[in-house]
Amino acid sequence: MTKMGQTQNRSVRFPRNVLGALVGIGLVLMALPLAAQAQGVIPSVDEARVMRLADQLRCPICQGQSVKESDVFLSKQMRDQIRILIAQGKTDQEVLDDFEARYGEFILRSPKPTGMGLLAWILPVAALVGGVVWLGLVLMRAQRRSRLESPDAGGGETPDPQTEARIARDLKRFEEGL
Amino acid sequence: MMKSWKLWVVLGLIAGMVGLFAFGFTTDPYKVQSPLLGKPAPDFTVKTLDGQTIQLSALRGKVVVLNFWGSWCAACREEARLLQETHVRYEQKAKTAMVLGIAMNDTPEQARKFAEIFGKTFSLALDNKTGDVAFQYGVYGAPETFFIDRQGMIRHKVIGAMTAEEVAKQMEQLTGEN
Repeated sequence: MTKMGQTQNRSVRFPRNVLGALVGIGLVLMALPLAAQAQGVIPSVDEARVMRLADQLRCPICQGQSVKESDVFLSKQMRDQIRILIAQGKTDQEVLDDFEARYGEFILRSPKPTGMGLLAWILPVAALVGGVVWLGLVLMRAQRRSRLESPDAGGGETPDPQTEARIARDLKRFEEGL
Repeated sequence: MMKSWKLWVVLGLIAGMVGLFAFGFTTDPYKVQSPLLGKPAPDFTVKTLDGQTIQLSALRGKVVVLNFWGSWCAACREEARLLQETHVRYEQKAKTAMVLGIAMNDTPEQARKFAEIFGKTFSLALDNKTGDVAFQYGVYGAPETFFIDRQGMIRHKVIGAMTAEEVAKQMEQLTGEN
């Protein structure tokens, strides 16, 4: 039992120097991103993702340009910061949240659907719905007016000969009764 | 009755649009309030131009005037003397504050030359290539200055060149000195 246990232990135990080397490599790998960041080294990450996120951020010193479109040094640094945050394992939302926490909501190109930002989302939809309703009402009114102004207006459908004859009879009886 | 209802709707819409335009034209979107006000100042470590290492959190107990600048920035020239005066009065004499300048997108040579020309003797450091310190503070231009209290909380931020009155008011409030 003891022998068996010893054998099992020996089978999973790494030589001390190998284990030490692995721990050392692990520590170096863990420290690399931090050291790289301290030196201002730009990590290499998925560029399509960087540009997608940069497109959602406003260049704060440009006129209507995104961080993706702008070439000023600040936008370049912001794109580098996106790369650093992605290399740190942050999700897209976490990257955007990080920017918002430092620059404020202004940095986001699409306002959040809360507070005053809610107006930016509601107003266009309300204007569209209001416009469609107004157009519908105008068209309905125009249709009704054209129907009233047509040659048949007021008469509706022409009565059939039997109805015409009955009306004539009723009118005659009415006049005779007077 | 119907006509007066419509009139009020139209007047309301016009008033709303005028209000939105007035708000838009009187608000400078580039001078948004920092979301960092009232929050702990992000910690960082920088190496000054004369080789000293400064960690912000180690300055706890002193008021810190953290100035982001650049040798390429015209407005930084305007406030250079004022920052130097603040350094002499509060850092050298009263020893209650520290002025720390962080140059962005700059070279040590240019930064040193600027400091020499404008008589800056306070601590000056350079942000790294990816602008890590500036990003931590949501800085989008130079100059920008943060007033950090003795407990390490950001109390005030100035965008653009500061005035003597502004600095005096902030320093009086934070150091308790007149």
